[in-house]
Amino acid sequence: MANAELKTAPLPKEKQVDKWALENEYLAKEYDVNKKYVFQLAAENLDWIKPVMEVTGNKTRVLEKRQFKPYQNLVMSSQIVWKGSRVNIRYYDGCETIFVADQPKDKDLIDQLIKSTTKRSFLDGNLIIEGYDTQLLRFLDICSWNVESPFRTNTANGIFLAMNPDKKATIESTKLDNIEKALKLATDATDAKMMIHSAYLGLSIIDQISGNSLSPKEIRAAYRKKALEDSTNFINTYGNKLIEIKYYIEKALQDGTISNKLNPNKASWKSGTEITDISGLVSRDAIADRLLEFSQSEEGAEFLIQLKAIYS
Amino acid sequence: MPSEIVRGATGQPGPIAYPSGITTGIFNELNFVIPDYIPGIIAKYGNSSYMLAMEILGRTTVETVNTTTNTFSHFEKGRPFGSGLVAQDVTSSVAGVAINITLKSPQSYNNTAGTQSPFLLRQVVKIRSNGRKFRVTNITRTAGAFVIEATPLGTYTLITGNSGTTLKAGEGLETFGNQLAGESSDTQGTQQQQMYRYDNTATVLRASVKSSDLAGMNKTQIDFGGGQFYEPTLAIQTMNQNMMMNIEDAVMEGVPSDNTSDNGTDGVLPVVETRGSEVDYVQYQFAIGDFQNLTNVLDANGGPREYHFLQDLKQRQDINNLLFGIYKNGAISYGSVGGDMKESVTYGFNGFSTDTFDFHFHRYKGFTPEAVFGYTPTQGDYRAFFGLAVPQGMVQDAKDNTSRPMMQWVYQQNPDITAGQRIYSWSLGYTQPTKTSVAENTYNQIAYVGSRVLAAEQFCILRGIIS
Repeated sequence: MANAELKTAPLPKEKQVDKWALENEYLAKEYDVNKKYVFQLAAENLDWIKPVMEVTGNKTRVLEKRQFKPYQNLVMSSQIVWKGSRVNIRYYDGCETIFVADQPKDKDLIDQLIKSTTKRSFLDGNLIIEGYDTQLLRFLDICSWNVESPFRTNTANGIFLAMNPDKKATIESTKLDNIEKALKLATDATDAKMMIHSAYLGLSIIDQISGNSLSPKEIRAAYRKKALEDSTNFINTYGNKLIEIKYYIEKALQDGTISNKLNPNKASWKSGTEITDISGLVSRDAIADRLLEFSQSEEGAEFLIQLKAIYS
Repeated sequence: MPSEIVRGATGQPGPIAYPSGITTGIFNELNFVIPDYIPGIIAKYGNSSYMLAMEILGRTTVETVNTTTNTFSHFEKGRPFGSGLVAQDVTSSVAGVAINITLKSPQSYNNTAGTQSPFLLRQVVKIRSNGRKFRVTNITRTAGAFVIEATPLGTYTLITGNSGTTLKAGEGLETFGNQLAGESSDTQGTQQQQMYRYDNTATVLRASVKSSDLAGMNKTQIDFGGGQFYEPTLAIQTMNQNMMMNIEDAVMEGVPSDNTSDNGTDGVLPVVETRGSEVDYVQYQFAIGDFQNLTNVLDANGGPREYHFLQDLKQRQDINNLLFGIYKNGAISYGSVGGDMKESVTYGFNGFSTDTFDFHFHRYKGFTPEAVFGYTPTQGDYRAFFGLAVPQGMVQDAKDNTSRPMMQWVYQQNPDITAGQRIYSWSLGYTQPTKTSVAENTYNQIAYVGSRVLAAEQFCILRGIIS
């Protein structure tokens, strides 16, 4: 019995198939023969210290920065991590597989395939492939040069990525959705909420020319504009409780409801009731930060209640 | 005369007896044993050959010039022959009948606004896929979407290839002048090459060495070079070497900073990466096809016949391996590329000619961290298997009709400093002409330098990539 082999139960069939589900998914991927697929260089050109100028007659104007280098060839062989190990892939025009292990081994035939394969390159950063070049598209999708390939090796140079129109459309749609959402929040926010959020967003509440305080209507116009300009940040910070509390603290420090007049090392209410220790802090920002920190602690719960009672 | 006082005899008891003989213990009492040493100082990692691009390539490929302003410029002109691309499919089913072709943006336009293109009325234009010609009989200049009315010169359709009825999107259209002006012809439109101005700035490089009085006045037994036995010499030499490499890296790789207080400089490599081309190959698998990729690109961009490669050693080895055909499947053998038996023994090509181009290979240490810094990168190396193809060019200066190399190191000159002095050195301290109260000396160096690449389109990067 001691030498008896340990028998393990075989994995259910479904699990065996699942193990290489991603590989199988990529192998089964279909391409639209009537479409063109675009791949783009991953590295964009750096900004120059001085822009390139175009000279036309007596005018000189700045030329738009070129996003990509004019030419870079496509290397059509690569190593990938496929079904748990490193394998070689290579694309030849007309060859029915990109896996080197399954490709012809005859040297003359390989030479012939190499010679008859069209060279491809990224022109101004873009490589356009016809939808019927399925093996080439498969190579581009899974090779290690593709920075988005799930099969790339850790050491590979990242050369390009696929320009996926769906992905691009989703990104654009999300951006538009965010703008709509931010504008709605900016329109519907109560005046009090708008004032708090505007202060956080750095919007001025006074007219810079006359020095008059801006009316809620004027502030709201700027507030909505801000929602349009940076909708993601607007949404992320809208209704943030910490921002509100900090606004109340800064307001209290500004109007003297909280101060350190009685004892420079203690923040106190106007009545003289001590709030917390602020030893060593001089600037109003630092004191506000300390009070915010205190408001979030257990000992600061009462302070928070009092603050809200005054301002909200 | 009284005789001198004779001192009593001394020296007793005389010699020491060593019953066991003399041992090295006796040296404990002899402090001044004559040392045997090499009086110079040995460079552990080789003599400091700077391997500067200018030294490697010579003054006909890189030159040093002066500027009196921090920003320096040059002008280039574009291609003289105009072309465009078809924006979308156009049907042409009736022979000899005009069709309207919209020009693709941005390729068919000289400017971003899409208001300039090379197309003119009455031009003859050739379709690249089949060579068929048409005449431009009308142009509607809608920004970014010029529509040209294309009238065939004969009774044929304007299509892509030789079958079907479609002129396909992306088809190339090449402009020529009026080839069919006919009798009593009138003036034609005007074309002029696009002109560009390229600006760059000189960056400021500094280096210093400080030495205390005692560090500078204790003579050692080591000659630090030039008969200098005082230790600060070594630090000054290090400063010199670092300054040279500092300048080299600044002009080659650039100093990408531009703010109100200081400007860097655009380096040769970033400029070539932006304006020139790149040919990639798989590391250790450089093949003749890769050379052909390279020559195709150089040819397309009007490169001169002769190129100098600055390469890291690994790429140089890749090329040697190819040229000598040591692999079983090697593409060529040394005999077929003009080598001889002697070269096959030395196993290293200095030059190679193919496809009407002559290449010269130079190992450039600056790309290799192992050689410069003494470590092997483990997290990636952006200059591994890297080479820069520099045109051996003498471009014609339109102003004075002289020829000049295509790479320049541009030094900004201070009028108070002797003309032509690239690196200015000065010192101050308690033994220097300018005295300080502290008993120490400070040695300083400064250089104001930037790079200029002429016609960077003709340069090319060759890079071995790995997966």
